Amino acid sequence: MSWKKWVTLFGMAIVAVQPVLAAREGGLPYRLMNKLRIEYDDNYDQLKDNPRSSWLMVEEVELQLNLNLEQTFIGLNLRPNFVWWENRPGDTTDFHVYADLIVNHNFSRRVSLSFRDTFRRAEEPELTENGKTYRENGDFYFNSADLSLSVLVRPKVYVDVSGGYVFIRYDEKEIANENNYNKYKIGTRARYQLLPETELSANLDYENIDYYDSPVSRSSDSVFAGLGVEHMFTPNLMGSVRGGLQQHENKDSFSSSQTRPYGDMALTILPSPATRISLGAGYSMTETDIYPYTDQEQFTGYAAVSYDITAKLTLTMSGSYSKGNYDAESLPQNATIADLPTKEYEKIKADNPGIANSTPLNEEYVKSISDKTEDTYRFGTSLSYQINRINWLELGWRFSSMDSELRDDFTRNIYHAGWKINL
Amino acid sequence: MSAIRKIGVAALVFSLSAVQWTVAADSAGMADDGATDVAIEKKFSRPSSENQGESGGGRSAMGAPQDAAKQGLLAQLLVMQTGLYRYLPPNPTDLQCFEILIQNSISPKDGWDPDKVVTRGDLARVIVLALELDDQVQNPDDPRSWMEVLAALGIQITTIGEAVNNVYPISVPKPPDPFFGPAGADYGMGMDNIEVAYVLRNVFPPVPRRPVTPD
Repeated sequence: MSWKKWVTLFGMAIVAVQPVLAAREGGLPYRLMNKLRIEYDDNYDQLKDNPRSSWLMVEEVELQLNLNLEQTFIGLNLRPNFVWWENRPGDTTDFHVYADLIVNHNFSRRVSLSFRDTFRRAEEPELTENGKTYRENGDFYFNSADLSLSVLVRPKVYVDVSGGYVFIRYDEKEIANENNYNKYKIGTRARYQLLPETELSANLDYENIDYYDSPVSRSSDSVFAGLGVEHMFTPNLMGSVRGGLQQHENKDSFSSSQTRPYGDMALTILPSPATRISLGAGYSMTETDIYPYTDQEQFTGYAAVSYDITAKLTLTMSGSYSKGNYDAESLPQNATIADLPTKEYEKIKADNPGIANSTPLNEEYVKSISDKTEDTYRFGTSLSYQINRINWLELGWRFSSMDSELRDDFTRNIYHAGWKINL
Repeated sequence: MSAIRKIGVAALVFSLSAVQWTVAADSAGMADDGATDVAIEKKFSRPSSENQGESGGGRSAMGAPQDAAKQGLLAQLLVMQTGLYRYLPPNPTDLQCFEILIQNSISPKDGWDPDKVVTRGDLARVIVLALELDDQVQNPDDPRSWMEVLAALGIQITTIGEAVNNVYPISVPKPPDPFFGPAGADYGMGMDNIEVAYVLRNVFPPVPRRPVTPD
């Protein structure tokens, strides 16, 4: 379905619920915002050498719709987004659509159902010039739908059963064949409120990811089993820790099954009414967009601070670091050396002059390229000023840097100034 | 069928059985009256006249003790009404709701407490903060000042449900990670971020991090 049809569909849905909105008491159930932003991006292709920069203008309309019925809540957030690039060869405009939908229904005090859907349509047209590919992902549709049933089975004990379906669809056939996937998830979680401020949990999840058109076997199954605890130390300090084991299985990779630990922790601190701090870290095996790898071991840490300088002026700073470890043993056995990321491909070609691109991977090649890493650093800061009840201004800077043994390194800065108005 | 699939199927069967058993028990009225459950949670009874004009500190906003709503319920309703739900997984815990509300400067005077009964003062305060009207509060230390702001707008705080219904989506939501915040998407890094963010959310579903994809 084209983006125009999606927008039309959402428009019709909004019109359809108008009579209900009109009858509703209380505050307005929707909010319409307009956001205009001017940015300067110093490396939009994320290249190490000869980066290209551009000014860009981003125009976004945001519709937030809430429908709060007696036992049901429906929330919709819709954000069509238009981008104009001052200096981007090939295509100077993009049109994105972001939509988030949630439907919560309480059958009784004990049983509730929650559905949420996240839809994205992004235009990032592929760009190849003089034989070099600058952008390769292309336009895509992404959707994630999750359904969760929560049941109070005993006083203080909840059981959640959830399922989900995720897909991504690229427009370009070649990219689609390698990267389109369906993901199916099912899981259960038990929660026990040990104390009013402490909750324990146990979870068991299964996940299947299917790259159905991929010429190499990237599809896999995973099972997660873990325990967790959330605790509110004081009303201004709360945190959570979780951990467990995950088993990842890809029958057609050099190492067909792996069992690894995973873990996660997060802390939220409110040292003063004007200051908010978030800290967190996580470690797990996850999928990757680096073709033809099936997974990566990833560590991520982040910190964010938000400070209200005055009632109208807020400063936010945030940074994150992630490290991905790529084990060549997880490569599919039916991949060829031409499928490998640039740096690995070049290494094998250098070590084996004259080797054909169609040569299948073997143990020898896998050993020679084993254990690659990719480090990503990100930092961002923004200053938001509320001019009056309906107008806001924002200034900001975002920095990202990647140091990779698999693909090109890059650093990128984006500076922006934005105006937001409540219509 | 591989062993890993069998485990998944077994988990599903177990879960559905548990839910079926529980729903059946619930229908039979195993533990609560069930007739007014949602109504009580969303629209609990009016306060007694003694509470009118109180400073709000320490007094329940509800009438009968059995109707007392805790701050966890208030936080759950607020994340929906403010639109902050999109930064949380389905069926978020109270703690997750507290976290995202704190990050958006919405909290009672003494912070969130899952076991604390909602007072009129706290209710007025969080409604004013959610409406982004705190600059109109004359004396922030006096709960009556927060109530006066709502009274001037004709907003009643006699029940949580009625009061929260007056909250509309906040203008400048602050997600846990500003990279996914109002500043918008990292164009060109989109899929990397989608994957990382999405996987993190789903490997650790109870932990609020950031929305599934860049905003």
